Amino acid sequence: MGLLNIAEPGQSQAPHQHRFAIGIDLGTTNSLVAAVRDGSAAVLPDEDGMRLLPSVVRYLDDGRIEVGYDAKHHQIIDPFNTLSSVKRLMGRGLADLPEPQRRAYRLGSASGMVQLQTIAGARSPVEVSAEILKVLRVRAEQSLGGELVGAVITVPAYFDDAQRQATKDAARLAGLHVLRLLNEPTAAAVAYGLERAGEGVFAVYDLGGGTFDISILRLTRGVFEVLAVNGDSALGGDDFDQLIYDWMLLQASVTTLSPSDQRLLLQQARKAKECLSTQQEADIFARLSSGLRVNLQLERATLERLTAGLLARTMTPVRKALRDAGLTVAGIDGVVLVGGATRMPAIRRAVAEYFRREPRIDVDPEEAVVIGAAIQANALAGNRSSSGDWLLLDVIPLSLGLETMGGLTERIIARNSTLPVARAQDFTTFKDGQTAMSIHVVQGERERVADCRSLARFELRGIPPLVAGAARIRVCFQVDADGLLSVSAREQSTGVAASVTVKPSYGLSDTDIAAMLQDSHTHAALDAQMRSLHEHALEAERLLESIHSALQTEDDSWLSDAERASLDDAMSSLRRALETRDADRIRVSAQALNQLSRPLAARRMDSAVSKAFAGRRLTDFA
Amino acid sequence: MPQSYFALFSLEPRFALRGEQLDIAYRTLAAQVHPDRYANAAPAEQRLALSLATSANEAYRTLKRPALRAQHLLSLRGVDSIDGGAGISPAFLLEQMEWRELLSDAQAARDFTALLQLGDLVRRRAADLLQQLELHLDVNGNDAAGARTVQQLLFVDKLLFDIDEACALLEA
Repeated sequence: MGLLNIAEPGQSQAPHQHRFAIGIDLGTTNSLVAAVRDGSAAVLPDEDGMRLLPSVVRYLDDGRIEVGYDAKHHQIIDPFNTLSSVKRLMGRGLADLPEPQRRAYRLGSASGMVQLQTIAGARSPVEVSAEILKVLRVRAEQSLGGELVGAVITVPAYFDDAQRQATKDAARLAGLHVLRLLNEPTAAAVAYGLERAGEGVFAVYDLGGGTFDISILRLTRGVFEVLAVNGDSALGGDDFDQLIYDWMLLQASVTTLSPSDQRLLLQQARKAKECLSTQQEADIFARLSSGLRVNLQLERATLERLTAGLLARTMTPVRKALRDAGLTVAGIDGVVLVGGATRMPAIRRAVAEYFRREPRIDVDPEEAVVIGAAIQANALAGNRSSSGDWLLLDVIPLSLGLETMGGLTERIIARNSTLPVARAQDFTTFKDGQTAMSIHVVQGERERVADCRSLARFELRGIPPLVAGAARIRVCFQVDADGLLSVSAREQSTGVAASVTVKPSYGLSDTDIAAMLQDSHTHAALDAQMRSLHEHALEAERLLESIHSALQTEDDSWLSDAERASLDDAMSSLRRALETRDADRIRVSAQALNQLSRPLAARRMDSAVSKAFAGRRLTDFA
Repeated sequence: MPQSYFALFSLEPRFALRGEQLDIAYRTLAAQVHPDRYANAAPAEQRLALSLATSANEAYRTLKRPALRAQHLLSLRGVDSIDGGAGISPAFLLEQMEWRELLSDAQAARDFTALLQLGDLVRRRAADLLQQLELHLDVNGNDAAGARTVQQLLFVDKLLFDIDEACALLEA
């Protein structure tokens, strides 16, 4: 494998060489990977031609890990080491989980994100997800025949910051460069909009295995503008299975079940649900470990009666999203169904009734998301697309707030604000000589902190010691295009930047991630130093390449001769540093080059904008 | 003098917007500076894109909402309309108090229809205020009257927001 293929920039990239980037739908039940090849996006199947990868991971006692169908086939004989639906645990604490989910795993965690006890030790949902992503990465590398530029990974639109960060961390553990976290309904809209060239306002109703999203988007001349999202990140097809399972226990008069039998009956429940999407009745048969036979018949009407409450629960977010978008049903030009669970006829009927039109299902509801992600990945990788220029403008799904006196929240960024978005807020000290303070950031719509989700506590240190009330600390809350929050702080009168340390409430700290990376090396037979060298070298190559291509489009007037010469020098010394294979030297040279590339960046951006608006010097507004 | 968001979008600094000119200008700018356009660029360029795209979104949000647009326009003219409420008439305040009472009654009674009716009533008042603002700011150049009207509009906007939230809570 080409671990360190360091080539001279300019040599490594032929001008029109296709840069492979992939889209990944990391689903609750199944995951998929897709890429644009020869101008069209396609799902990449495995060697046996299977398109879906069941999101199931099994840890074995000899240290091996099975992922996908192999793992799925063992979940009945090895229930506690075979983990499924971990997406529902991403960025979640023990107290967040409803009872059935707690029973399905061996959970352990005093605080922070839940941990799953397996024969291989405790594993976080992030590590389990990373195993799924690794398999998809390898599948893509083999199928495309080369190293990947990066990946777009989809997340439910209603995922909060902790859930998004957990997903990004999983990708990092899997050795994937994340180009963007993309909201699943937006990805589906890309798959529909670009291929069918529609204009207007669309609603995307996305019911997956474990999450529900509703997204209202406006398509105008190649711009996908998300107007509002809403949803429930703990509602999905799994909950329908659970209700069938409960009904089965009641019908068969079974009370206590072994973990294996539980998995078996849940599997039968899911099969029955899927069967009832096309049939009027389903036969359920299972032989329990006690020898007891469960033999039942479930009618579609019964299923619909059992699950009517779940269906109703999806309609509340739909109404909220419409109100937030300032629209009524009459203002919607089309409705798209996404997610395997939308195959249920009752859902199609309810959606059609509410929106007073037949929903579109012309793209496979299970593949629309990954196809959209692949199209976006291809565009972000810098490949030209046949559909021309287009842009996604997405939003933050939940308001961000700060804890104030008395356990109340003060809203700083409103839900459905277009990303990226930032807000600055001034704070002061209340004690003489105070040099540190703590800010508690929460996400949610409720007034009381206790009713919102705790995201993180940000500790500001290095505030210059002044008398009480004299320091004016401007704290900037920035949410990037992935929907992820970062915080920076500066004391205004002295200009001193405060250092910010993040204590995520349900996420992993940088130290946790480093330890996991370290840990995975023992399996990958790749020592930490090599790993670090590899990461720095890759980053340096990306930097050299991006500056190289920026310079190729350069207008002579952008840089002075001196600026150009020092930039060239810095590029050469980074190339020399790469040859030494010294990770620290590469890192330092890359930092220097990055610093020197700022004027080029500013002038390039001004030039791009002045093409759109005659004579604007945009960087004045940065 | 603050940065002009109108200048950012190459728009004339006026309260009344013509058609979709703001939306079109915003989309044009966003297409140039959005971080997605710089997914492959050097970190310096990515940071700049993040900052510019954030400014573009903030400018659009400000100009899109009439009350914020009027405040921004006034601040460009050196008139501070953020502070105060000094110019608000007792009659206006009385009406606000009555409407607030209607809101809390409807909330207590979980009366969805009453909430919707109140919403319509308040929205009609908001539309009146917008017409007045255009007259003060674009036609008569009466910035002081404009600043007073903005204050009223902010009250009305907040009330509309609270009515919407109350509707959402009833539905949940």
